[in-house]
Amino acid sequence: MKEGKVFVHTPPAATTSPSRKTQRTGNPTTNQDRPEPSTSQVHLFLCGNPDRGDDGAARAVLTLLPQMVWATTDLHLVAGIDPLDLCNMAANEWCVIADAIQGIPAGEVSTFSLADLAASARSLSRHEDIPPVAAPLLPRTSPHPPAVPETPHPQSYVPRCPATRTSTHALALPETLALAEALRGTTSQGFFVGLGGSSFALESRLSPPVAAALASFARTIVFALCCCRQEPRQPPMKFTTALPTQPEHGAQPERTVPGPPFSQSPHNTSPLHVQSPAPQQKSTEETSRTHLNKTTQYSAHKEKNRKGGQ
Amino acid sequence: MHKTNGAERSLDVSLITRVEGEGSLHLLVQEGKVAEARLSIFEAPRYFEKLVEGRTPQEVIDIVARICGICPVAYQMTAVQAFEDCFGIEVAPETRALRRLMYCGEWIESHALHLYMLQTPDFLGYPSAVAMAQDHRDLVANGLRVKKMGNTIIECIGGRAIHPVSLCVGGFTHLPSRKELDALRRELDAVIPLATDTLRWTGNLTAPPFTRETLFVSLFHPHEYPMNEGRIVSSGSGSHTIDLAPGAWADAFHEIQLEGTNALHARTMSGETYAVGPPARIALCGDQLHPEAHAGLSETGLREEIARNPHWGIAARAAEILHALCEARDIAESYRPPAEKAVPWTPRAGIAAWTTEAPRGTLYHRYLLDEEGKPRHATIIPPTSQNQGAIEHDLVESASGLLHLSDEKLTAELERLVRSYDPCISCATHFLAVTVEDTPSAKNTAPAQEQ
Repeated sequence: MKEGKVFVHTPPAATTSPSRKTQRTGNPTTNQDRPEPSTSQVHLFLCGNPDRGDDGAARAVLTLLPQMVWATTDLHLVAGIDPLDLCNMAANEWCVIADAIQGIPAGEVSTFSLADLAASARSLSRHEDIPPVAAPLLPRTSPHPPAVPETPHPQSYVPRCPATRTSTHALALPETLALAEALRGTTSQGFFVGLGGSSFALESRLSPPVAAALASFARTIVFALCCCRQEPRQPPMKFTTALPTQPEHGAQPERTVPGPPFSQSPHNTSPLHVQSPAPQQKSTEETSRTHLNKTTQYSAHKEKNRKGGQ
Repeated sequence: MHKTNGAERSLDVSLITRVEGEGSLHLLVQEGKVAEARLSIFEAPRYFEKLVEGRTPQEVIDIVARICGICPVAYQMTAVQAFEDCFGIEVAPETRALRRLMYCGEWIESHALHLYMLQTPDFLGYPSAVAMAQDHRDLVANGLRVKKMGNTIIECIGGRAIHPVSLCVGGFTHLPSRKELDALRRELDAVIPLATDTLRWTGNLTAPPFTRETLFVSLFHPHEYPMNEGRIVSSGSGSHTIDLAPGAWADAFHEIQLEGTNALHARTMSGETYAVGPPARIALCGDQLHPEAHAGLSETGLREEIARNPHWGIAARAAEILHALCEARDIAESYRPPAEKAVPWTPRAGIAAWTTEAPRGTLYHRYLLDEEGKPRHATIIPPTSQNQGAIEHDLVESASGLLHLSDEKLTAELERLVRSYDPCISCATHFLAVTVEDTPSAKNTAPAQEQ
């Protein structure tokens, strides 16, 4: 159920060049069209339809993202990934795509390399069965139990490569990635973070298991963003420590997982560092919401227009 | 697997690729001649005609949009005009233009999807658009931009690109601003050259050498390329020529149930198969194309070929993409908001019937309404069910000249022919499995189609 598209951009940040705004307005599709790439740019695509039950999970996770994400990431709220979205990225830019998915238990979080997903689409010929993609680079997490030990991914849990089975209403992610790769001449680098959903009916509420997994979903997205910012940008192949929890209001930041520091981020701490608010400052969530209010005006306007038409 | 049994050869394509939906192809060859070609649609019946019974007109408009994610506007537009015709509603010229603009958006995105992503790989020898993009980046990128343009138009008018929500009986629930259409016009200016190049490019392609005679049916409007209005006309001459009001489709056509397929087939009252869609519109209404599209098509020299060879549907769609883009630009440029979003209306009992031109061809709706305007009975005739007979006829004709090919190559050629019609079965798959099996006797094969 992929429908209209809304882009939301973060406020200009220290790492964001002024040209970033204008870059997004056109449809550059070749390397020559693109502006000078920013070496630090990471894009976060939150996909889904908030009126379709659990499909709105990625939108719902927005308010749980820490300030660091808002300051250092180009954020896109979209119904689904379009190849042109990826073509608009510079060759050295990485991205994280988050969406609700089917095929894994509701509330489970799985992470995959975009390169692996694209390769799974490329490798298929017309008569082949669909192979699983590589094992996830990050562990699946679930609120029940809190963390699932890292195990080989059963094929049934892997998002099915749609190269031969997708709807033509819209390209599925592996095909989109493969197509964008062909158009850009380079592989889209980054991660897909999926949250298993159970109900995609016409409703604005999340199912209980998905709602309970939002914090875990947010942490995994943050971790994937951090992996995109590592220098060299190599995702950790083994990661067995439990992911950190979202700090409560006024709590000290947690650093449960060591990792390479940000190379360009002003928040030069751990990849999993979530900045704690100063006593007189707003909480992270409040700050995020402030940013949300400022930056989703266009989105809200569009949504209002849409609702007005219903 | 390839097997033959004596003089018989049976070819089954269990799932046809790069079409909108789930269908299969069965071909039976006896004594060196094609005895039967059957395009079977095994996707489960979806009962939309039953679902709309007892619903309000607005609910019907929203429900029928869900029949297809590619052409929801066509279903909405046909239903809304059927109701308006029955209720005696006349919409403002500005509303009429806005609806036409919305329909242009659907033609653009639907045709672009088929042309660039589904059919062009056949002409260039690739198994998919993804594979083709490796070597033809600009072509695919342009295709994506053209398709996105169509989606943007629908989103601007209808609130969202797929299953739009603004269309209602009497007009719209929401009107775009002048500023929004100015922005749309600027985007159209940038995309039109891409479509012009594409149309020109189709003139350099080489299609399989297959020709046939068929009956074409489409709407015809004396002053514009057919979309929302006009009379149902057919090719041919003399007393057999069809010329009907848009709500009178059932006077000249009927549907039949055939064994082995879940889709009804449409025939003329005399049992003839016929073709609808872009080639039919070009053949019957080509002079009404926008001047830029008309000139572009003339430059290709393919207008006559489009009527003879279904593979040249690619050129017909390219011409219609350019037409729709140019007309959308013109409408956006001259846009003035209607005085009111929707004119008030009162329901009445009666027959609500209308025909419009969906991207894939003539689409007919008929509702028997009660005094509240709620359907007691509904009939929806999509273009694909009208084209199925012509497709099967063409398969027989085409396969007869291709029997020297291996099963794999024969399958590829026949699939290509089916794809040239852009059949929209519903939600599509891209999976193909081919089996060629022994057929002990003709009795064990599916029965020949009714006539």
